[in-house]
Amino acid sequence: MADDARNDLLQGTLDMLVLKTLQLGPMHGWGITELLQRGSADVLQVGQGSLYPALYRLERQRFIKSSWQTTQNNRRARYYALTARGRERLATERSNWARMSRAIEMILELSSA
Amino acid sequence: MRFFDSLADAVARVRGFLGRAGRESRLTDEMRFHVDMQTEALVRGGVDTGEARRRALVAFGGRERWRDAARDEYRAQFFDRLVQDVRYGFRSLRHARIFTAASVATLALGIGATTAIFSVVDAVLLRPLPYADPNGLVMLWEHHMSQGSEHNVTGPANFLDWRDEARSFSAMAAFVGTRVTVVTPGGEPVSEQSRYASAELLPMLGVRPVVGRLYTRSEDTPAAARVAVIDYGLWQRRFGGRRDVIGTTVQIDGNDVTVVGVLPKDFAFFEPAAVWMPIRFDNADRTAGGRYLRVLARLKPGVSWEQADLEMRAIARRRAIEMPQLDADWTALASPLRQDLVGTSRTPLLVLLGAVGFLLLIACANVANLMLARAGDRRREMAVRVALGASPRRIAYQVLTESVMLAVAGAALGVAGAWAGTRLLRTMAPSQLGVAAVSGIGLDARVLVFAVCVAMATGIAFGFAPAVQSARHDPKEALSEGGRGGAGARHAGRLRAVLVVVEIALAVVLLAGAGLMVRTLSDLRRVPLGFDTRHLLTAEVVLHGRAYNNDTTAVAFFEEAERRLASLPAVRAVGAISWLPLSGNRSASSFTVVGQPAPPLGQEPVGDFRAVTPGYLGAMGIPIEEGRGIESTDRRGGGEVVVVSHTLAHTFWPNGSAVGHELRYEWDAWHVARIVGVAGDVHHDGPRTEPYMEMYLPLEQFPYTGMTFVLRTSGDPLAVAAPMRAVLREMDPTQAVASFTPMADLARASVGDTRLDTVLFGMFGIIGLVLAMIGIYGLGAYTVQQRRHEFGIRMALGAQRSAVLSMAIRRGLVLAAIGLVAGVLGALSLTHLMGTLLFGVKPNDPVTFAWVGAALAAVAALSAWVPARRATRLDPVAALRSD
Repeated sequence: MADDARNDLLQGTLDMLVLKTLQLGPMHGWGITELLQRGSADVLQVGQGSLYPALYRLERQRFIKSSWQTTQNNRRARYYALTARGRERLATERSNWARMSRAIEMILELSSA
Repeated sequence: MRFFDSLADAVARVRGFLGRAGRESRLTDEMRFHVDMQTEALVRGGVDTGEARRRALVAFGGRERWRDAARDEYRAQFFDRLVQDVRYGFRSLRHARIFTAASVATLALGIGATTAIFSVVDAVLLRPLPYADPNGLVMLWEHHMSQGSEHNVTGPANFLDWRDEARSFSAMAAFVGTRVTVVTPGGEPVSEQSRYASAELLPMLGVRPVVGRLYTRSEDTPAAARVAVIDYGLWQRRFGGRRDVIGTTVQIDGNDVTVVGVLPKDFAFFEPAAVWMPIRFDNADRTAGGRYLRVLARLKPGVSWEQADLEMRAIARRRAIEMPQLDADWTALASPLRQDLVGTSRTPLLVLLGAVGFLLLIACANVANLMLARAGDRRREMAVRVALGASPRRIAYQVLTESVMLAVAGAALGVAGAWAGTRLLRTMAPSQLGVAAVSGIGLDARVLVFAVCVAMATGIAFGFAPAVQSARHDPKEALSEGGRGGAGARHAGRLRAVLVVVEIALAVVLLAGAGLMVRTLSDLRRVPLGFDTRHLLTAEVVLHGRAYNNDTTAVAFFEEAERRLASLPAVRAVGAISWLPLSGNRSASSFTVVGQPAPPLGQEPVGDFRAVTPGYLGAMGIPIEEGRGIESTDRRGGGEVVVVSHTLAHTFWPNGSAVGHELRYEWDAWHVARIVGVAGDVHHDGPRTEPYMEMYLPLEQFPYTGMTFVLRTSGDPLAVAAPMRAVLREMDPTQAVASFTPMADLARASVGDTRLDTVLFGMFGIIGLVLAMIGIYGLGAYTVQQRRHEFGIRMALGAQRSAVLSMAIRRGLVLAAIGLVAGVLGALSLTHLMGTLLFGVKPNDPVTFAWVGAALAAVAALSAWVPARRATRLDPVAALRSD
């Protein structure tokens, strides 16, 4: 995956983003990529090569669950939804992220006094 | 909560692994959906359909690579991690040599001993008997109610009555073992163990002959032509395994007998028997006296052995009225076949299994202790791993993998030890393990599965606590302040101390037992048996055939044989006796002293009879204490004579001389014999039994057809066997020597049970000792590791190495002393239970206890010293900096 330029997301960040998109409501894999791409004004382009493994990993960790459902256009698709655990996880990751980005920001703001 | 999470995770992994087909189709479906959606989106954006699809596929990227990545997530790198952990484990165990050796040795002892004992338990108690429907087989016995064994043999009259009248059984068979002389066409006469048995016996056991057939009911009558079935061993030995053996005529005890079948190779039923022949009861047997038969019966479907037992008791009550001369005071009973094959070994075996399981538990605790000490040493290693991103669970798995690896290595060694152990048990204890001869002790698949299960359970049992502890490490704490133990650690420390005390106490008890057995064995070996066992060959000769039905011909044969054997060059002296000492056979009856008041009926003294030739006492080296021995001039015509043993003489004539007095004894009729001499005492049944009151009677006066020659030789006793066989063949080519056995072998066998007990106690003692050693060592290592910091400061401040050493060693020695005292007290209160096993040494034998105490103190000091020495070698700077 590392050779895929669009996948330069930090390990663990993708998981957080997936959880975030699912917080908006159950969604299939393609929908998640679309949402991430549009929501980030095309900055984040998640390759399927990392999205699906991430989905399966999160499902195994029971942060999300999945089931076959029918789309509006009457197609069969696998829908993923957040579990209660996943919600908790998302909250933790968000606060970690906030702390981390603040810390990085602080470093970057340092000026020679 | 955590536990259930990992359980759910494990289930998900396994399901992912197993549900491959479902998973693959899910991947394909999801992928197709994704590409379709992408295509549609592009089409909506104005791209033409074919091009859109191509672009969607390109965007999706390498399909296979995508799939592999997804698949990996599914399969949950369980096996990859296992391989990694095992590799890592190898490396880290290789670096901790003492730890690894101590752990593996402990586990090998625990698992090996458990496996060995289990293999015996399995063979004796668990495995089904190798017969058709073995649960339906019962043995029928008689019981003489006022005296005698509960499982007494019965006689033909009762057997025939039971077979006709009992309703509980679908079949019943009688059998009796004996020795016969077999002459094959063109061969030498050879004495073989054989069995006469009803025609129903072998079919009842489900035996199928490998060649030919079994004998039938119509052949089991006195009028039928004589037939025999031979066992696999005899077939190979005497007939070279040729199939044309069927129909061959052999001579058995002078009768022509046709061989009709050969038994399978692994068939066994009670004692081995090479020749099986119909028992051929006739009408006279319906009233015959004498009891010599064992009876096997098969229960009818739906009948329990207890019901059969009740019926047998009812039949016996009727028989006691119908045949009082035979059956008054007797009852009959049924018991499951296994019970008779197992004998009395059931309870001791289960106790042994329990004891060995206890040892295994202690071994586990011990290794857990070692691992905890090592976990202390590895805090930094683990902390670094955690800091590098290893999850606590991953670290716990790693530690658990190492412990299972240790257990597997221990099991491998242990199974090798158990294999040797069972061989030892088999060669040492064939008689004590009756059923084992039938079903065979060995390391079969069941036992190996057992060992593997024990190893896995052990690995997890002793690895669990250290694994949890390692996983709990907070890297910050470990890396920065060295994490001194809190209250929990102090509690665990006390537990460890108690464990060490218990181990040492246990080792003392086991070693005391072993020491007492060793002394017993050496004392038993030192008991003078009353004769000289060196350079002495024994050779049993049982005369068969019509020629010796008459007493005088048998006596003449033995007297002539003795004369000829005496002239063999390597023979210094020769004699013969009816019931050889240490052979397990004896014959006793009541007697009275002529001229002394007769004791009340039923309380007459009991004496042992021995028919001997004139050469016997001299050849054995039994001293004549007074008067003379038996001489060739002692003939019935000149009045009967007897030489009595020292014990008999001193019981009746404690102050005067026995010579010249007369004894009355009953042997088919009443006899009176004049005492002509007193011979030294003989321990007829081995060193543990006191000498009997014995009466040596001249063979001519007390004719007997089965005599055992004793030949005092100038060299290897067995070298005389061939010349002796030649002498007998010259005299009568149809007779054979039943067995040649050096007397020294009989003497060794007579202490066989004690030797087995000694080996068992010794094994347990050594295991206990090693466990205690490792326990003290583990504790010391742990202490030193915990106090490294403190020792470092002390040495930096100038403490002497010897002072640090004594500080580091003190705790181990204190615990050892407590354990030693507790163990000695425990042993003193327990060894008296060994009473019947011991001989010549008291259960509280001070010499044994002193040795055990000294040995344990030395071992404890050494085990405590090794880790303590590490403390003195610490580099103070390194110790202080390390945590």
